[in-house]
This record gives sequence, C-alpha cells and structure tokens, in this order.
Amino acid sequence: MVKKDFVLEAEEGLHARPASMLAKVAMKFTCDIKLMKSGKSDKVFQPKSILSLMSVGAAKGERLTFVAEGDDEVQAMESISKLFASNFQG
Amino acid sequence: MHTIIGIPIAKGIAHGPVRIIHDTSMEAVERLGCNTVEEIQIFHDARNEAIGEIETIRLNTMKNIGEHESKIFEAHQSILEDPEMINQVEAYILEKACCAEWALTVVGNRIRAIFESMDNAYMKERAIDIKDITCRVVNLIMGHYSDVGSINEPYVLVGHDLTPSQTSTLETKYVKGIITEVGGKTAHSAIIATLLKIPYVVIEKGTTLLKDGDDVVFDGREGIVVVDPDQSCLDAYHAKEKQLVQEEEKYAGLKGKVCKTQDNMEVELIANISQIKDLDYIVKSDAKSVGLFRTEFIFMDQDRLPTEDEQYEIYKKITTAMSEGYVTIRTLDIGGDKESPLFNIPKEDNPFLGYRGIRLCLEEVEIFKTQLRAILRASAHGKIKIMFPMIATLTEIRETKSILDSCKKALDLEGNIYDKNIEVGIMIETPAAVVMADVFAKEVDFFSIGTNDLIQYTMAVDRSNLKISALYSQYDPAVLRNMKIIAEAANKENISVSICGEAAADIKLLPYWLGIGIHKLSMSVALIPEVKWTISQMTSTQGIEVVEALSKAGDVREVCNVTHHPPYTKKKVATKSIILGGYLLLDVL
Repeated sequence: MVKKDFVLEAEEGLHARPASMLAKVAMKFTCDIKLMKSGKSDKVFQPKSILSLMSVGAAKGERLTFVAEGDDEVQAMESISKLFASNFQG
Repeated sequence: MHTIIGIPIAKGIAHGPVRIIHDTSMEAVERLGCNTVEEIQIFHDARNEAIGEIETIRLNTMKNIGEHESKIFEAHQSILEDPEMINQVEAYILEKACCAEWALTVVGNRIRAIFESMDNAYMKERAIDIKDITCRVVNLIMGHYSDVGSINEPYVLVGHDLTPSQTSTLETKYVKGIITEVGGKTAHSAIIATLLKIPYVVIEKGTTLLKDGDDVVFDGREGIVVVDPDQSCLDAYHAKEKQLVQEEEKYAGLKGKVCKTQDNMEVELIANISQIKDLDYIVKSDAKSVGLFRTEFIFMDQDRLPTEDEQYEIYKKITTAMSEGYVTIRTLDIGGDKESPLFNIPKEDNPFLGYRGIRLCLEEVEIFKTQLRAILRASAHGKIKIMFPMIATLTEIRETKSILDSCKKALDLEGNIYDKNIEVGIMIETPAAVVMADVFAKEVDFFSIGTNDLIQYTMAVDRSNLKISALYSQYDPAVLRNMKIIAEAANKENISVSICGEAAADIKLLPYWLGIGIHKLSMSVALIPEVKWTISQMTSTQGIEVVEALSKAGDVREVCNVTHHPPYTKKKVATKSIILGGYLLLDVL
C-alpha cells in the first residue's frame, strides 16, 4: 500500500477538466485507488470515477490523500504525482 | 391546408417534410417488466454511440475553436465511461426491471442533484453537463435524432433551439428549412442559416404545432408556415422562389464592388463578429474591415479567465486575416443580460442599469489591463481600433484612456512593439452619451452607435418584457433624433461615426442613415449583399429628403409612413402588414 498527500494547485479546484485527466490516469492501473480529503477519512472517493472526483468539491489549496493498493500501486502513485506536479497542464 | 404565423429570420423558400429534432426537453417514461439483459445491452450500445458522436464534436471543436475548449467534451466522454455511473444504471435496471432510458434518467437526476447541492458555483453549473450527456443517450435509446448530421434526405428541421454542435453539422443538401421555438436574427444559428442560405423562421410552439412528416412550405422573409399546402399554393411559392433567385443574382453582380449610391457617394459596409469561428465567413465576404469585434465569447465559454497570451493569439488571428482593412475590438462588455460565472456580479434589480460594460472594467482593472495589453500587442500585426462600451461620462473616457496609457508605458519598458497611434473610440448607447456627444467627440477618434442598447435606454424599455416591448422600436422618432444628434456631433469634430447595432442593416432606414451623415455601417456579413444592392439603387439626395420628411414625424406610425413608403418612390410596397408586422415582431426579439 502506498499513501501520499497532495495540495491541489489548480486555479478553479477539481473541476471537470482536471477531474477527467485524473480519472483517465487512474483508470490505466489495476490497483485499487482511494481518495480522501486530508484528515477526513470518513468519506472515500473513487479517483477512477470522474463523477466521484467532481463530487469531492475540492477547491484550490485543499490537501488530498491518495491511497493505492495492488500490483501497480507504485506506478499509479507516480503518475498521479506527475499530474499534480504539472498542475494538470499536460 | 392551414397556416401558422411565426417570426421571419432568414430568407428563402423552404418546402419539405418536417423532421422534429428533440433536444434536452426529451423525456423518458418508466416502463417496468423489461428484459434486464436486453435493456443493459441497449444502454451500452447507446452509450458507445454517444461517445462516438461526442468524439466528432470534440474534433470539430478542436479544429474550429481550440484545444482548450475541446477539453470539456473529453470530460463528457469520461462521464459516459464512468464506472460509478455505469454501475448505478445497471443496478437500477436489475433492481426494477425497468427500461434503460428510465434508469439513466433516474441516475442522471441523482448525480445532478449532488452537483446542484454544492456550494461551488462552477460545480453547480456542471449539473447542466450531466443533463446534456444523459439526454443525448436517452435520445439515442428512444430513437430520436439528436444530431442533424445523420439524416440523409431533404427535410425541414424543426426543434426547440439549435445547439452549436447541430449548427456546425447542418447539411445544406438536406436541410431545406429551419423552424425553431426560440432564437432571433442575431443568434449564431440565424447567422449561419443566412450564410448557408437556409430559410429560417421562429414559431413559439413549433415542436407541438407540427409533427414528423408534415408537408410544410414557407417564405423565411414572411414567417408564415403553410402546412399541407395544395398545388396552387405550392405554385405560388415556387414563383416566389424564382423571384428570389433573380434577386440573389442581382446581389451577386455587386460582389467585390465598392458600395456606393447612384451619385457615387461611397458607403463603407463592415462586419460584426462575435465568435472567432465565424472569421472564415467574414474573410469570404465583401467586408474589408470589422466594425465590431465582440470579445465576450473569450470570457463566457470558459471556466477561468483567458490569459494575455491567449487573447493576444485571438486578436492577432483576426487582425492578420483582415489585412486589407482594420479590426475594431470592443473591450469586454459583460453584465446586463450577459452573465459570466467568472465575474462576481451580485444579483441586481436592474442589470441593464447596473454593473456592466466599462463600469465593470474600471473596477476589475487587472482583467481590463490584461485585455488592453493583448489588444495593443496584436496591433503590431495590423490595424486595430479599440472601442469602449457603455460610456456615460467624460470621467469614464478619461480614466479608460489613462489605463490604456499606463499599459502602453509598461509595454514600452518591456520593449514590446505596438501601434503607438492606435485609434480609440466609444460606443454611443446611453442617452447621457448622446446629450454629451459634442463634448465626447473632442476626446475620442470615433463613435460607434449600438442601436440595440440605445433604443432600450432612449425608450426606457426592457425589450424582454413582452408587455411593453412594442415601445422598443428603431422607428421611434426619439431614437431617430438621437441618431441625428450623434452623427452631427461626430461630423462637426471630423471624427468617424458608424452604426453597429441591428438597425444598421435595416433596409427601410438606410436613406435616413445616409441623410444624417453616417457612411459606415457594421453588420452581420450575411446582410451585406442586400444592403449593398439597396444603396446602389439610391441617390444621396433621397437621403436628405427622407431626413426632412422624418423631422416632422411624431410617432412610430408617422415614421413608418415615410420609411416604408419613402417620398421618392411611387409604387407601394406589396407585402405591407406582414412585413411590417414582421419587423415589429422582430424588434421585440
């Protein structure tokens, strides 16, 4: 299991475009990926679902925790890290 | 055989069977006791078909508009492939043994409710995306035509409204006419229909008054639709069509020639443009310059503010394309009826009298400066004029000019190239600006009259209020007198004056515009051929006669007595009440 925190820098939050980019990346991997708002583990979102991602309602500056578990968990987390590092510009 | 009266939008004779194109108002009904395996298969087939349709739209958008704008369609596709959405629909079908379209509607509504309940305004708006997507799939399941590109035989398209994706797939070979329930002459679909020469009328309840397969014939200039016409009626329309073709030939004879009256008074006909995707039509038209480039689209279809570079690229593109002439760029005119989620415009009791146009730009100085810098930088690639909207006071003009100067200074320091003598003008659309026109004329390089707003403010009429919309008329002598004051003030200071509202292309008022000294008219390029031909049949003396006759007119009726039967023509106009009614109705829109 790998776990990592990210700060969302996208100007308008996790809206349709960044969410669709994130969902696309997450779907490439077979491992189970979960997303929570940092410090709030009661509500779990599915990064492979654009609808679930959009319903996070994450604004700019929000801290998000990703947890990946499965065969390709390391690669999955790397790809997600890249997306955040590029600030969803790719 | 019976007739339905509508509003004329684009001319031409249309004849053919009705095909009703359903849009987002399409509704599924609950059917229970279905074969769940079949329904799940139907759902997936329609879903995949929809993804394919969206792919076409996405590619078209990327080609014609831009990569950034096309991204939203990628998001639409992702939603259709979303495991959560798919699971919910499948589960609902299995649980209730209901039909696919109903399950999708229920799940779609559920998802929409989540978005609508969010605090974030942007997310709330996305509820509309979900509706678009579910409706597309529901339509496909229910066997309705959601995209017009798929019909391969002649028909008259009837729908509530045309979406941009539908307008971009119109096949002139098959679409013989268009009837929509909403719309107006300036709507994008109307402009495209006029350019593609597809007759077009608006009928308020078109999709209920007409049904698939109805044989209809209509003249887009009159707006009267005949259902199940008999042979003699069809003959009459075919004769009209012939006449129209002759008119078109007449207009075509003037293509590429200078627009002038019989006594050689030249009139400059230039283009209005509100979407960069219309640029091709402008370049192919007779307009050498752009009299009004509306920049709102750059700000309205986006979920974030456009950067300076993005704006610069757009301004550069249009300026380079219009290399023979100039491009008048109107700075952001948001507010009033033009809302944008990007700006924090609080709900106002009177948005038209509120925070809009230059008032907003003078508050949001950084956004304004970004636009001005982009415009200035683009002026290195061709002739640009800058125009400011909604000016009411001298202070606004001076403040605006000083902001422009500070942008110029900053560009100088950075070593950027731009046109140092760039012309600066204002829209005249408030009564305050009319009264002060003589003073304002000393401060700016040109005036452009925005008749749509000027009429509204002169008559103190909200044109969307149907109870009073009859008061909204370019034929009101108060409006015409205001126009004269503006033209005289501009001509006295020797600055250029043009009209860029809908009234610029009003055939009945052309003699008046020339008579009061306006020789520059900016309009939708589709209207240029007819205006040019009309001017070529006039003399400048006739203009002066009309101005003289109209100076005595006391109300709309008296004005129309002159404009519709001008003093220099002997023969009466044959189609009086309908055309007149049509114009009056059009003014309402």
